[in-house]
Amino acid sequence: MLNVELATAAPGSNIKNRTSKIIWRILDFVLAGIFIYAGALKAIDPVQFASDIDNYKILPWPVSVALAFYLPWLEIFCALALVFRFLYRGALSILMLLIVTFTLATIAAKIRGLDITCGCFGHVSQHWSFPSHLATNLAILASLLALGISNRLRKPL
Amino acid sequence: MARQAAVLAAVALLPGVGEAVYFRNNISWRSAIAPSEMVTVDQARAWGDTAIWVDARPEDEFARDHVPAGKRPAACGRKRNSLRCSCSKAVGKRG
Repeated sequence: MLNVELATAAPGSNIKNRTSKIIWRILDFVLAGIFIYAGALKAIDPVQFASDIDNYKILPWPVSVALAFYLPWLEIFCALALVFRFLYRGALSILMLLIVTFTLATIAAKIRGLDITCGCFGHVSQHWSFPSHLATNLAILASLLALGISNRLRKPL
Repeated sequence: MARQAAVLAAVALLPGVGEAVYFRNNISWRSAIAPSEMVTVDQARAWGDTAIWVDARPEDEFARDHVPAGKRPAACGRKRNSLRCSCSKAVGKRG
């Protein structure tokens, strides 16, 4: 009796499991696409990105320049790691750290009354309001957290 | 996880350094003003009346101190801390 139940239950559970894995993979690709797009925009114009970082008035100019050259590539490599599932957890942790830092810097700038663009998505994000920035960052952070948790619970596809 | 993050952070350094070398003439590491937009005080004086100085700082800053022959045709707009504003501030300070 038990064997029959297991045999009938297994295909359904297998399909559910597979669907769930596909959904997580889609989320991997969506997030990777966002970070590759954001990274490429900034890598193309590091001078503008350095200026965007400097506008936060948190870091000295030479540090802003160094980060402007470095961060876009870090985003791109982490996004590629999500796509290829190579160094996956490291990539997730770096991306979470980046998005938390950007969010805190944006909030700090708002509190200090600085009217600036975040530079996250180049000119596309130039006219985004503060709530839009915050909502986008929090949505990305929530997705990264979900991927991190699901990755602990599932086996590789 | 920390090791994976360290590997990614190290790998991203390579293109970052390459880009810094590639853009070395487009950006200054010492100030927010691009090297191509910088002029010395002597150069500015040598240009005399042939140059028109555009001061894009907010009005209160312009009123406080500005280049004697400086014009004030435009404000900084929404991005008060933009690179262009920084340039004009630096020009104003140099007199």
